[in-house]
Amino acid sequence: MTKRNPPAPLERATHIELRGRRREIWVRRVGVVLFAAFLVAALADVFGQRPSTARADGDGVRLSVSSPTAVRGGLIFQARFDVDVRKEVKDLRLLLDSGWFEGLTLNSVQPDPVGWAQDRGRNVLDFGHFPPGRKLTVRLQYQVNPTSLGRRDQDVTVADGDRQLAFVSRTATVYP
Amino acid sequence: VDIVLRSLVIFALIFVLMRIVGRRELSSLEPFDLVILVVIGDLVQQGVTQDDYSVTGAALAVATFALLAVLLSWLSFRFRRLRPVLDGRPIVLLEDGKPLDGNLRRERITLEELAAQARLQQIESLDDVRWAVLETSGAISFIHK
Repeated sequence: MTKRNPPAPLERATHIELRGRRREIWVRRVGVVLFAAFLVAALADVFGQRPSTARADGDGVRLSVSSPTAVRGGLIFQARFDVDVRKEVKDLRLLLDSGWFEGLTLNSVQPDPVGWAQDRGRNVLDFGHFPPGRKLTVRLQYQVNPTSLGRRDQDVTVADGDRQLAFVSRTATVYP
Repeated sequence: VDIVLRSLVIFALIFVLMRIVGRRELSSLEPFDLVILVVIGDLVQQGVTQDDYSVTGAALAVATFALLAVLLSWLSFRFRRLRPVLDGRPIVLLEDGKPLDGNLRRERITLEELAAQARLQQIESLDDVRWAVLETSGAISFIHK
């Protein structure tokens, strides 16, 4: 018995036997895998904003920087800088790359530095004299500007006046 | 510029998502699916306009979405070869009262769902159906014997 043809313009080969349409189902499966991979990457903190900590031991000080290395437009986050002073520092300065301020709104700095200046594109926050055994903790509260995008350097230097004591190199990425 | 680009990306994302999800899910909206769609709309809105509360911003986003929808429709109309990609193709689910298991499995449609859809069109039994076709819109059309 010959089989009846489906209503035109449907064709037996294309619409019933699905010849040449195996690719469609694979495209759909690949799409599902890509979406799943996107979610797995998010769970693995690729798109932020879990803070990560970088440390450096220097000449009489220990610097620790804790801040997310990936953030997204509009998010609020905190950067924390801890400086353990082991030897006397006459004029403790925190030097922050422009990447700490470019495309970010700084909501608050705690504590306020005694002086704030710029040196070759870096922001210099001056906290004055620190005897051995004291610890400085600075918290900067930010919000990412919605139009910000891309990777930026966020190096941090601790200095005594013009003399560098400790240095942390890091980058942060802003996702749309 | 920002809002137009964001709208473009989100439109593309939604288009791909809808093509992946499958047309059946989109046409047979259960209450839960409807809620999910509304929630998706709300989630997407912030990504497009962010902190822009202006009428201009909203108009730009809506205009971009509308224009892209028209563009897709025009592409589908103008270029026959793009139609399977943009709209999909119909699939026959039942022939002479006999379900086509492979095609049903491919579209994740159970026999019970097919029978329910037939009942909605006043068809008592699938035995009375010559052809059941899953259309590109996600609706199932039934042709009597």
